[in-house]
Amino acid sequence: MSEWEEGVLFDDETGCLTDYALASLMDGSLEELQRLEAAEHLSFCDACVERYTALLTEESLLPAPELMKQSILQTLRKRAAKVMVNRYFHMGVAACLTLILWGAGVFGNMAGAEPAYKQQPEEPRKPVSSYLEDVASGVAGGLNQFMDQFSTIDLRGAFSDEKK
Amino acid sequence: MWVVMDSGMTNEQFGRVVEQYQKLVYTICYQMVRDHHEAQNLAQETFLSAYTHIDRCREEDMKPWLCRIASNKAKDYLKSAYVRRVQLAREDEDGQEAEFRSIQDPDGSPGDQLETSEGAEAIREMIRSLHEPYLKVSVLYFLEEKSVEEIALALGRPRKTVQTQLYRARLALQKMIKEGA
Repeated sequence: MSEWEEGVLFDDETGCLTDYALASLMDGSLEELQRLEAAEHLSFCDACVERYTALLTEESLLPAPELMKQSILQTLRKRAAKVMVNRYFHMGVAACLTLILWGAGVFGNMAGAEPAYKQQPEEPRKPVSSYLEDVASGVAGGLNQFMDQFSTIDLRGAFSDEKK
Repeated sequence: MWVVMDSGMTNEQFGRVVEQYQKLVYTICYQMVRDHHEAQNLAQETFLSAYTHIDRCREEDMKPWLCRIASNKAKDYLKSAYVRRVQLAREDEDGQEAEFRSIQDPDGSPGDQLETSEGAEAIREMIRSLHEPYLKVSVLYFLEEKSVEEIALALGRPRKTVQTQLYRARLALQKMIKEGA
């Protein structure tokens, strides 16, 4: 005979655990495979869970290991700390990226940006060096203009006074 | 310090839940695995899983809910121990590793062995002689050739549970055939 024919653990009609099975589970007389079958059934059957928990009265319960609660709460604290560290790390990275993008002027362009279909093809942006060249050439042009003024003034008299 | 995680419950509040149900959860785990050290590990895992999803459970349903999580944890533990032992036993027995893998996948070839066997009727009788939780899944799968999904739906059992029950039913049938031969 096969091992599960020793004692009826499941009702052939309903497929649920028998009272014998629940009692045997509690008194420790089930073999390992039978305990696995019972656990498997209890993991999805609400009716049997209800019956089983009803049998687990306060006086039938074992004392819990001494430091179990502390150990659970400690693990939770560690997990919470890990979550916090991860969260702050991600926030820091996000803030750094924002600053870098802001510094590069990405958001400035975005603020005044029009939808793509409205945008006219832009001229290629001038590099900063060309602006500097413009400024330099402007200053040089102003100087030349200033010097040109003197070329139109008759300075002959002034120089003659100097000789005297 | 009170720490609020995704569950929206502080550690202190959860500590009270642990306080209230730790004996129950530990007892369930012990009754399933019959080992104090493993029972403690499984009880801890039960509470840690419960903490993550505690917002799904009402206070009055806490007892059966924790019982179901504990049963699930114990089931996983017992299943891995059982599979490991069966695997080792079979390797020792005849070294037919390939055969073991084919049995592991009940989707593979339903009832091949049964169809080709000369004593097909005798094997059908063996299937009908199985007890729950293997009788219905085996009749539906081997004799009525239903799929795992159809069986899971018809019997209201999780698909994975149907698969493991078929796996064990098949091992038992092989054992019965061997003994009969």
